[in-house]
Amino acid sequence: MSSDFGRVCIRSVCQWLRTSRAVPLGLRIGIGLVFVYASIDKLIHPDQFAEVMTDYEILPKAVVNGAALWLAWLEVVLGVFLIAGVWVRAAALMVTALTVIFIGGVSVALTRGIGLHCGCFSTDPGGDARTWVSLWQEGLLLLACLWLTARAFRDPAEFRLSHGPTDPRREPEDVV
Amino acid sequence: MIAGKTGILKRMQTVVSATLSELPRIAAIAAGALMLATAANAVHPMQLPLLTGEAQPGLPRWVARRFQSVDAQKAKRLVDSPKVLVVDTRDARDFRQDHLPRAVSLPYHGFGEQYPEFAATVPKDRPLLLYCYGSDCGLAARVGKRLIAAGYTDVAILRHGIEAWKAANLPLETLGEHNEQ
Repeated sequence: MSSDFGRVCIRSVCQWLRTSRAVPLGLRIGIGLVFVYASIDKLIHPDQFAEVMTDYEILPKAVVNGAALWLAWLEVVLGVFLIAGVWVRAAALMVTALTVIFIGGVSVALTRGIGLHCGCFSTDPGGDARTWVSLWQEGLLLLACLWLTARAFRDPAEFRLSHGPTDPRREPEDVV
Repeated sequence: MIAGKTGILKRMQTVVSATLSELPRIAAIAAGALMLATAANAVHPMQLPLLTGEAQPGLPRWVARRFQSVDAQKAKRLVDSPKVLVVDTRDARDFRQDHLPRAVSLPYHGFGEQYPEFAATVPKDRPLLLYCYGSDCGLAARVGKRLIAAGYTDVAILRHGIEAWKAANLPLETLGEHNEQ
């Protein structure tokens, strides 16, 4: 009896996640806000973010400054695009890729035994050092990004700013 | 079974073609972010060089020009001068083990917490000698950059850190022997 009830509940939640328009909207804006928030300290202290990136020991030192500056602005642009609902497919793909790269970077550093500070939301070197356990936050973000990307590709109309027949962004598969 | 495989292949093909169709937008976003980054860097007080060459990442040229880089012998003369404050930028645990004579600890990992006390006790015009672990260590330059940005005017860095000091057979102290500012 109780297992039936549980199954019904799970099915209802899954159904709601599949059909609800509020979930992708909330997720899109939520992920956008996370990326904008993550970029703020990096925009204010790009030099300190370059130091954090140096500590990952992944990129050649010669390009770290350029990469740090670009990454901070990429995060803010992607965040704003997601919040505004502009080019959502491309932005969702990029935030997913960035999250994968970030998890990969932290994992490589942890495997090599480099004790590093995250640099995710703050460039302060005094923050907590990363551990395998602390990767759950990025794992959660990655799941959300993957879900948003899948949804953006499955139901592109849901993310379009305009649905009118003269909309130049209208794609052939949407024409009935 | 075959129908299932064909279905998966078709689905993968759809995903790949949909992703490829987004490439122009992805490139436009990446290029836009690069332009914004370059423009913002040009007006940012730090003005980082985009390509650093052999220089330390995160270190603006105007800050690097203000550092005085000294060898162990020159550092010894600075350590002997009571006017100069010797600053150890390594982790506190290593500072406790051994450090240069009269050195105070201002670790890079912990700068935010310890700087207010440092600023309250050390005048901005006091000459500072900073050092860290060795040749590959950039912590002294990182702390030096923060101190110069905060208004300290006379910052010297011991080249090759405490390694160079030890190689020159110069004396070291452990915590408790001497630790005043």
